[in-house]
Amino acid sequence: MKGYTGMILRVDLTTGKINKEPLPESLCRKYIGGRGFIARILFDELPRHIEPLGPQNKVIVATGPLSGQFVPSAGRTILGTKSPATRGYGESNIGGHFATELKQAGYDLIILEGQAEKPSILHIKDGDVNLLSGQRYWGMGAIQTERVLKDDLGERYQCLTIGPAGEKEVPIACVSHDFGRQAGRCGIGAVFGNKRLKAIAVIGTQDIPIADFRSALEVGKKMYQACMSHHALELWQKYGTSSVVSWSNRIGTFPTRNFQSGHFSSFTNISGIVMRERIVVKDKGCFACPMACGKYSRIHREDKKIYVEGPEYETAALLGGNCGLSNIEDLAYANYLCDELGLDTISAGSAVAFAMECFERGIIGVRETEGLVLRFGESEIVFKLLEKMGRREGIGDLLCQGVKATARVWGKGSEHFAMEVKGLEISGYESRNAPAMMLSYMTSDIGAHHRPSWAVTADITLGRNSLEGKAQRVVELQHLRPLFDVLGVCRLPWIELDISPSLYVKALNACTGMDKTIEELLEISERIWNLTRLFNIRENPGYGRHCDYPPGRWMGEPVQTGPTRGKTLSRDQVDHLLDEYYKLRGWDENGIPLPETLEQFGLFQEAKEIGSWKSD
Amino acid sequence: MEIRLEGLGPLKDYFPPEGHHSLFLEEARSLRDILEELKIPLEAFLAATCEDKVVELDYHPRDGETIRLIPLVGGG
Repeated sequence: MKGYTGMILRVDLTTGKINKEPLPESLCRKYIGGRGFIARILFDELPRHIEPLGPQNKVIVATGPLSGQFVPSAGRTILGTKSPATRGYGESNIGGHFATELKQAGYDLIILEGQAEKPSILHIKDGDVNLLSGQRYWGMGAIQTERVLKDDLGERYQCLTIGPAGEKEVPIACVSHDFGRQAGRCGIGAVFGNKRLKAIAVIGTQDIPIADFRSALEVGKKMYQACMSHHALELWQKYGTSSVVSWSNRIGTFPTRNFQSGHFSSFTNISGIVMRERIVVKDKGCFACPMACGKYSRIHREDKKIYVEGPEYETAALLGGNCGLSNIEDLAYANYLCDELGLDTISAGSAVAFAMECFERGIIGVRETEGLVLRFGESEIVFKLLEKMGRREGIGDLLCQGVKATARVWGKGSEHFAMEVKGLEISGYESRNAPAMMLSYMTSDIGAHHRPSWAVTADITLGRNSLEGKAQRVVELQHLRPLFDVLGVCRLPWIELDISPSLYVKALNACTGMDKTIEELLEISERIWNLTRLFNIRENPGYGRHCDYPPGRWMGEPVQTGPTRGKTLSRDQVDHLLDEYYKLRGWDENGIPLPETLEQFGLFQEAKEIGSWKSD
Repeated sequence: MEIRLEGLGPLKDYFPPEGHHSLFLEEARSLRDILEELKIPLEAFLAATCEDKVVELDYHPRDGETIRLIPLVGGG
């Protein structure tokens, strides 16, 4: 089928065996690409109840049918695995140029299996694929590895790398690409490290097949014209996601001091305005992207120039307001440390903030921190904790396992403010006065992340204090937004520049020769959503409603300061949201899909088996 | 002094049919005060720009300046 290369690259790191397999057309028609491929393959190929950090786990590196095509921001690579952070379905994606290069080399996806004996690099040059020694790169930072790999192999290579955190199998380790972009969530970097896979380097010279070139060109032109004439384009080009900082703070959703509040009084010091004026040196875009929302920054530390991509909004939220950092250079340095160590800035920031609150409350003391006095806003303490987490030293060896695991060890009620759902730290929105956003976090299939549903606008338009219509909106978003991860494109041109989803459907049909409608694609997205839910149920005996609850802090504890001061949701309100959500999805009151729901989406075998998983 | 306030995209609902307010101010006032008086919700727009640069709500527009409100679409 056109739009795809038609080839899967399967790499067994235990034996070194490399196989090229045809991509089944039925998989393309039923799951389209990217996230859809990942969900289906992980479900089918992973033995039940395997250890995420073990040779039986797999990592899928996937593209979509629009990756590498003439569509705005068509450079998305989607990675998936059984997550060591959550022990459930893990998925994260990354911008840049890797997906395009992989398709030009002739592959739609890579399946990584087994475990190498020694550090390795997967080297792909069109049809030539081999494993190189990664010994020389082991121990290097994630960004440094990319630099040295390009020096060794050639500048045109596109690379995925891990840092020391991934090598040491830190459950919040990320995969890095393009000198500062990350597939940050779910600990996929740790699975790379467990497989002793330091990097993948790819270069390709082939054309990507297109079914109807003229139609593809025409729809692509329309999309670019719409982007270029949009009034918000310049804002995004100039400030990127950092433009969200001031707004989020204004409405009281900016995580502050471990989510004690949604308003950071020093926000102007880390806002997009200050960032642009003080540290940004270059704008940076992904493949075929007119937005160029990436910001490359330069800071000075101990007489050295340090370059970092960012800080993005999420980093400003979790390492900035949430840890109390109120200086843009400090924030950028914390960002740099995470990038080189290969740590997810969201989970790492949340872990640091959690430790700070535990210390301030006397739950832990200097005995647990090896003499460090943890206070919000102390930048040197933040830097030290990040280093310790990335290298698994002292207190960092516990903190790097995430706030849920840390709270289990420290106890004394700390679970109440361990800000996670399903073991994944909550990303950048304090949600006690944003019920739709809270429900989005509660029900996200990977844990508390905003990618599948970012619903703060629904909270604003439908009423911040109201629960009415919120579950419906979250369900709609959870079908539409992940479609972009299926197609292999960035969602920002749709979200921020109003590019109509119908144009993406036209582009898909022109590139592949399919004849899909938006309704059919949304149905596929819903099929995938049910499948990832099933993965979580199958892999975690006893899985159900209790896994969808937010942390205790978000059920009954009022926000301390700012425009949402005093706001909270009760347990009854949270239950009301879940009841409505499960009903809309065709799941039972415990959040388990009903057999008839699964059959509706063609998941017949799963409908037969689900009863046996529940009783495990 | 006179300033011009424009709302883009869906924010036009908060503006007269011509799409902007021309405001005569006797003294300098913060953007926050101006927007509150015009009953434009502070949560409805992502950013305010002046001369192609983002400004915060404590910004005091100067004579002849045009302030543009960029609507919230998504973010994050």
